[in-house]
Amino acid sequence: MSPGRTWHDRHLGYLFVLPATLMLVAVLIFPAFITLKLSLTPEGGSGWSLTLLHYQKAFRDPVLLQTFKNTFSFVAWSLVGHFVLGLGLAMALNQALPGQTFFRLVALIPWTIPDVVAGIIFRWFLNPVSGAMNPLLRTFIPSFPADFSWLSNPTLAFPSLIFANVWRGYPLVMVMLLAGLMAIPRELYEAAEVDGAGRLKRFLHVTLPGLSTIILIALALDMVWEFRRFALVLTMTGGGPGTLTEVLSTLVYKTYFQFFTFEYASAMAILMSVVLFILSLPYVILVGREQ
Amino acid sequence: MPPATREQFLDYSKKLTRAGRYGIGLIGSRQEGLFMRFNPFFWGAGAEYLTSDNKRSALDTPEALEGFRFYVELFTKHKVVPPGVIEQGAQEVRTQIAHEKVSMEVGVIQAPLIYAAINPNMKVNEVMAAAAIPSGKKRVSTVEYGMRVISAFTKHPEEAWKVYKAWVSKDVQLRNFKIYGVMSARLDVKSSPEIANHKFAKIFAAQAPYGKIEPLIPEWPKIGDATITAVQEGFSGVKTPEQALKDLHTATNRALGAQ
Repeated sequence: MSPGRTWHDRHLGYLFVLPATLMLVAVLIFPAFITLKLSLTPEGGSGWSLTLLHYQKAFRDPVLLQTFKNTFSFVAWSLVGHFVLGLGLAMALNQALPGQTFFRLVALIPWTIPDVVAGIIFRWFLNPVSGAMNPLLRTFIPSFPADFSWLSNPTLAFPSLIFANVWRGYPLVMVMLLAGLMAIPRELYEAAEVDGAGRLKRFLHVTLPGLSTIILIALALDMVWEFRRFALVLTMTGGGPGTLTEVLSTLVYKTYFQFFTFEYASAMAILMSVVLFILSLPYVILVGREQ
Repeated sequence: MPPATREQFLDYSKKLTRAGRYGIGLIGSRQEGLFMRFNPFFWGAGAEYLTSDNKRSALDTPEALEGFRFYVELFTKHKVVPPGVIEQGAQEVRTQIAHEKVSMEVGVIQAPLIYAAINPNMKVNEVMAAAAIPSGKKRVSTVEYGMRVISAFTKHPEEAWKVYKAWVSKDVQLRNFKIYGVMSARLDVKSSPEIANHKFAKIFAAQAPYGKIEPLIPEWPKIGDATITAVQEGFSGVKTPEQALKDLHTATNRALGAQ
């Protein structure tokens, strides 16, 4: 013990973190514990009588398994869309062009729109009777059907959802990649140019390596957020047609708040959390390594 | 004259489908309102969701297939329903009526007020009329109901009961009708001059004896959700009506634990 350090000095720090810790316990740890306990409780049961029946049911539930597949597909395609669009726009906005600040602000607008509003906008936009998408396409392709269905079409409902989600969510990835691009020293590009590297080689050998850590962080965070996407799916398709666009968050919501099967919904939520944790391990390891 | 039978209804719908307008607006989106539109055609075919003891699905009967298929084929085969039916909820269909995109819908008693609110130029009382749902084998109509409950844990049961009694009194129920257009379950309200002289309300009141509600069992939300899934699968062509109904039958039995 250092001389002169009192009990007060040694423990004051704990008092400073106590309010945040209590809040963390109240809003995160306690609800997570209650959910875990509920997932192990027999339906309609109480107390500490525990069972794994809900997890057994989950592994045999064809709707849940299909929903997991839908969710993985949704997340994967959304990440690809966010990355491609986000990187493309980040590189464009990193150029010293007139109106750069204005364009950077405009590019952020989709991210400022709440999920629910974005879902309603796209639902209207894609409506076959009164939406703007079909007339817009007919401007360029006069033979395009005037009443083409997007969200009711079993083949196109999912891509339509992803299209809306990519539009809504690319700014987050764009902002992170833009920050990463701005941190790459200009001298590296100049040196590469002097060595005769063209645009593609500079992109592959300077830009991408310089962005590698940021890309991993951006995609890891984006993956976690997209895995939990709820309001956009609920307002655009409600999981339909049928269950073709049902994702885990909408299924858990339905099971809990519409079917009132709290225990099974909790089991699904726990499984979702476990999968999410496993998928986010690369991010956790990377951050731990950097620290 | 309004269509009295299902065959007439289909014939009217086809004749009214022309020049950018469709015969009937239906709900296909995932909301409770779908059942009000679906059930009369389903039950009217003589079908039931469950056996009389509510323990097993009754969706494997020819009547169930007939009723299910009739509703779905209005869109897929007869094309008397606007495109994008799976996206249409109650408000979308009312908007279609108000803007004269569809000619008929299965609606609630307060729907004319809603049409007028959406399109004040429509002159709803002049151009619209109400009629009973066309009969199939059985004459049946859906009842949409609301309930008020007094908590078993209330510290003021007498006061709560007084409030409830006041709410369901004839005067308050009549006032409810005048302000919101909502029909009361009270027979003396249904037979009152206010209802009897109302162009739309008297039609709804006359359907009271044929009203039917969905099974009041805890598993109904799951069964209802599976039903909407089946209807959407039928509308979108993902499954044939036969396959969609067969899967619904399986899902219903699974929900009831009756596999």
